[in-house]
Amino acid sequence: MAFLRRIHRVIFLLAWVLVAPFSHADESDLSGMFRFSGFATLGATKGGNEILGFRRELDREGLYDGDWSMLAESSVGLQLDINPTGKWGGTLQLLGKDTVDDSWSDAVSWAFLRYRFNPDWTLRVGRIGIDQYMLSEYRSVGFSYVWIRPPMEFYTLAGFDFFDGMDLAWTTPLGSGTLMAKLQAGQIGNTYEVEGNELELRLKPIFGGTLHWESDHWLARISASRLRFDQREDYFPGTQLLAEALGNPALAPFWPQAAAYSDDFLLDDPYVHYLSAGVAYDKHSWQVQLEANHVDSDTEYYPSVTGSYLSVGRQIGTVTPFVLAAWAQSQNDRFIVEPPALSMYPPLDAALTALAEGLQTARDQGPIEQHTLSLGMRWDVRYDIALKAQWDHSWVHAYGAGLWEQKETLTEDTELNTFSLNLNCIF
Amino acid sequence: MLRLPKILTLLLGIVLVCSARAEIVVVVNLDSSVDSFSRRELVDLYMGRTQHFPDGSLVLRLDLPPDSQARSDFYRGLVNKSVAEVNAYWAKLLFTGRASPPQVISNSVNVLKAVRENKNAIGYLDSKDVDKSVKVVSRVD
Repeated sequence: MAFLRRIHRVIFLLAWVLVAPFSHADESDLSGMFRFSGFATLGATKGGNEILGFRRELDREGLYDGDWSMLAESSVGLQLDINPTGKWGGTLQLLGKDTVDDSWSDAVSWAFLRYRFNPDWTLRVGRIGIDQYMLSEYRSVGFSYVWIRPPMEFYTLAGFDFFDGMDLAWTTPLGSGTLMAKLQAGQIGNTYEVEGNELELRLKPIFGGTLHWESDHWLARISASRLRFDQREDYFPGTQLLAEALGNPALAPFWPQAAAYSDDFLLDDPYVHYLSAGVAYDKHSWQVQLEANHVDSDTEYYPSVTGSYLSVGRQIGTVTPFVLAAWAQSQNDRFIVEPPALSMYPPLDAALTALAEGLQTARDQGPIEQHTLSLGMRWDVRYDIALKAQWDHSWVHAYGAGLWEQKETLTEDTELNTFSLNLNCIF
Repeated sequence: MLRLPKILTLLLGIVLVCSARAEIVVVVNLDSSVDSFSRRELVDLYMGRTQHFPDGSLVLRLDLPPDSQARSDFYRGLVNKSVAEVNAYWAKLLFTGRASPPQVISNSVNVLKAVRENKNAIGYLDSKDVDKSVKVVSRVD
């Protein structure tokens, strides 16, 4: 029912936007003390198959069997900006979407205070967007980019939209453009769905740095961040039952590797590093964008991945057709579990076999190996409304479906289609 | 036969008149310390890269309504983008909390009024609507 209420809200807002255009005139308050604004996406998506569930972000519910869904990609954001003085300001943004846990605290995507020391230096404290990739901070604002969604191979695994902490930004003119350097520090807590179970991840501390240069037609950026799982010396979130069962000393005579397998679930070096670089070009109606990343994880259950995408679009009047190709590939080969020796005692053998299968499943569902070719079109219906359509064809390798929600391990190479149609607006 | 060139000339004239953009003037308060703006400085202000005059004071940036011809001509001349494209660009800055877009004023008469009444204001309007109560610091066409 919460979803229905949310969709009603999106429809209401879409109706409202027709009479309340983006940046409406308001001469009564030229100080800009308060500014209400928002964005909404109402979309229909058809995707998934009997094993793999499509999810735009990790905290969304999976869409299976090629069904149509109005929830998979719809969202609405409301923002209040307060600017009492030139130096002080604040932003509150609420984001409504169909998430796994419907938690209200996660619906607060931004809530920060800003202090501008001078035109070049700005400090923000509170809940802030994590500036990992080019679209990380505005991936929910469909109106601001040409595709239906930021490429899955690149952005789905970056499940952290915001953190609680602070960032410090410095801007300066450089060449024909403007350079921004930014440092971020803080912590993250978020909930995901893994094999039907809700899983809470806490990351603390996180550090990140970004260099972002933008001119009239070019944008170039690099960023690096380091995240640490807070559950140090503990098992990876969601794996505790399996890890404790494998750690049972009674297994050792039949399955000497079990204790080591159990230890693999421990977060003894709980760091994940993200590196990324991106370039965008926009001139003479051509829009070209390229990003590449590398995620390096010290933890067995958070995959080390390399990803990239290339998008080319051509604006023709108010219509922009585009083609997008994206890749993601885990660094490690498939992990094969050594089977236990049989005990000649059937109930124990059944338990050992079940454990080994459970472990193999857990090891098989994380890795990522896939690529997607997308064709689509954006039509700017009005200065504040865009209609988009997109077809994605994904090639997912066996044991490489980590970006999808999985009902069972994918054991054969698979191809899937995702069709999406959505209406995006700002107000 | 002599008529055809005349008709073609007339048609061409109509097309040129219809497709020509109005000259847009950028105006500030008469007491402003700014006397002229380069294209680069205007782009930095209206595309959210800075919110300050060269002397470091905060700027009150004014925009015309999104469906106005002058706004369309201003951004087409300044950054060669449509109003929808500029809005998409601003959506990135606004919804990441980096910057707020210019204040929207309902018409050029009220732009003149707002610029007269605010020393730190900057606005633009069709050159045919400008008067001596403000200072012209740049032209965009």
